Amino acid sequence: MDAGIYKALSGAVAQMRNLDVTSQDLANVNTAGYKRQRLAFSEVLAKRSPAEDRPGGWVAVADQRTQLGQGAVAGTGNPLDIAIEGDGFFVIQTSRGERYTRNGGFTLKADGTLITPTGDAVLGEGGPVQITGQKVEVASDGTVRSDQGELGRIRIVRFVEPRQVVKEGANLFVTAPPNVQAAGDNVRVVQGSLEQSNMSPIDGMISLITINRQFESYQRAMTLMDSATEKMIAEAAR
Amino acid sequence: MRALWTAATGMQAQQLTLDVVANNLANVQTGGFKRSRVDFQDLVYETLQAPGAASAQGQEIPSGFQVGHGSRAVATQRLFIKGDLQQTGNALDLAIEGEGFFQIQQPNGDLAYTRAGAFKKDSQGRMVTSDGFLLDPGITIPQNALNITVGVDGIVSVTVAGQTQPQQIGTLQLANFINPAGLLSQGRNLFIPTQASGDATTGTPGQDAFGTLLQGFVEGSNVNVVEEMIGLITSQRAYEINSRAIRTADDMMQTANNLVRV
Repeated sequence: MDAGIYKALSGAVAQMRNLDVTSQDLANVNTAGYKRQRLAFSEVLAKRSPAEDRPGGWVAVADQRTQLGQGAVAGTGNPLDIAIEGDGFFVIQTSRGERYTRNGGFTLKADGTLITPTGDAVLGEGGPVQITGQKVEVASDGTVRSDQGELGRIRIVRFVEPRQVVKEGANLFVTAPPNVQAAGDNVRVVQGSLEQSNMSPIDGMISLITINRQFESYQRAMTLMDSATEKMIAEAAR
Repeated sequence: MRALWTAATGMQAQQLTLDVVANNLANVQTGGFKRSRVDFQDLVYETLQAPGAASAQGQEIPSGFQVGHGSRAVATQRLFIKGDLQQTGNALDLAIEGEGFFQIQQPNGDLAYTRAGAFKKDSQGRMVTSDGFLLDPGITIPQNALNITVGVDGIVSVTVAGQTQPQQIGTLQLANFINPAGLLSQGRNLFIPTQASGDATTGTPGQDAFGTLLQGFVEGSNVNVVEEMIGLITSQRAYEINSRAIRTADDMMQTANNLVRV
């Protein structure tokens, strides 16, 4: 069989993967703090033995990157909604260890601990942040105050190598501890706001069209190559 | 194809947003109503290739490959932002300026909490909600009262016929919670405490963190129509684009089916 049909197939499979990733982004177009993902494809060389002197043409997923770019910050007026401007992340204490998030839609436990909607504590510089009193104010450096005075400071970190970060679901990211360091001074937190998803529906629409059409092209190529083989067999038999 | 199911979770999440927005809009004129919002999270990821793993050539893969399973709604959060105060001139309309809730005795004896302070008098002169539930601690207004004054600190005094000096008939108390967002809505503008809200602490209006009372005003709904309309538009568009993802998956499957010419 001609290798061409398999090359076209690898391209079609790659586009199916691309659709899986794009639809994940689109499903989360309204998820606060969501970061979109992008796939990069590369040509896989088929040359496995020196005798074979044919360049490849197979396509495979080379790389997937979470695009950590800033999402739009939208005001909500809720004092426990906190958005980050810059490359910082909140630190969340889960039963599985520290996790990181950009979704600052927090709430309180009955004892005043600042938690995520799933109940995990938000960490400050010295352990979970405890809110007491009324009129909670969060300064741009993450310092939390209420009418009872200063209550602590929300811990904001950044990643040394953002590509080494894995998504875990529930808006959480996980990475190895050496990859985490304190965020710089350029990172600000904004109280009463939420960071929107950084997925743009327009980009998603264009991706959907491209994926669909490319998949169709690969299908055409496969059909064409198949009919060429069919013709060849018929002619040779005559 | 996973994309079909992923996009379906996106559509379901947006449907829920629409339900919540519709409820907010339906209560745009409900006194003391607090709007809700849906919080979303992304679903678990399947890691097809972990970042940092070694590739066949002995080189490290700089970033992995993860495919997600969509989104889900995790919570509807009630936002206790203050509503606008509306002047009514009615002596039994009370608004709380600041933190706190009125305590209402439900027919079963349990306490419920509300920000809607449009009180009425029942046949015995007791202060009740529009549903006839008693205010707690109870205030009974004498039959011969000419006018009722509620001070900022909650002291209720009346002037009765034939007397020039107003007389005190009771003091209103307010309740508050460490986490009001954890309260459970009961309908009828009432909230009940839960594990998440913590127990109520009661106090006199104006003291500590409790708000003061304003007579002749009611607190309006905190629903902002423009904000809800924007929520409506964004969730509708998100719904639409997720349905497009489903169509694309369907188209691709059809294309694949056409590979074989029968």
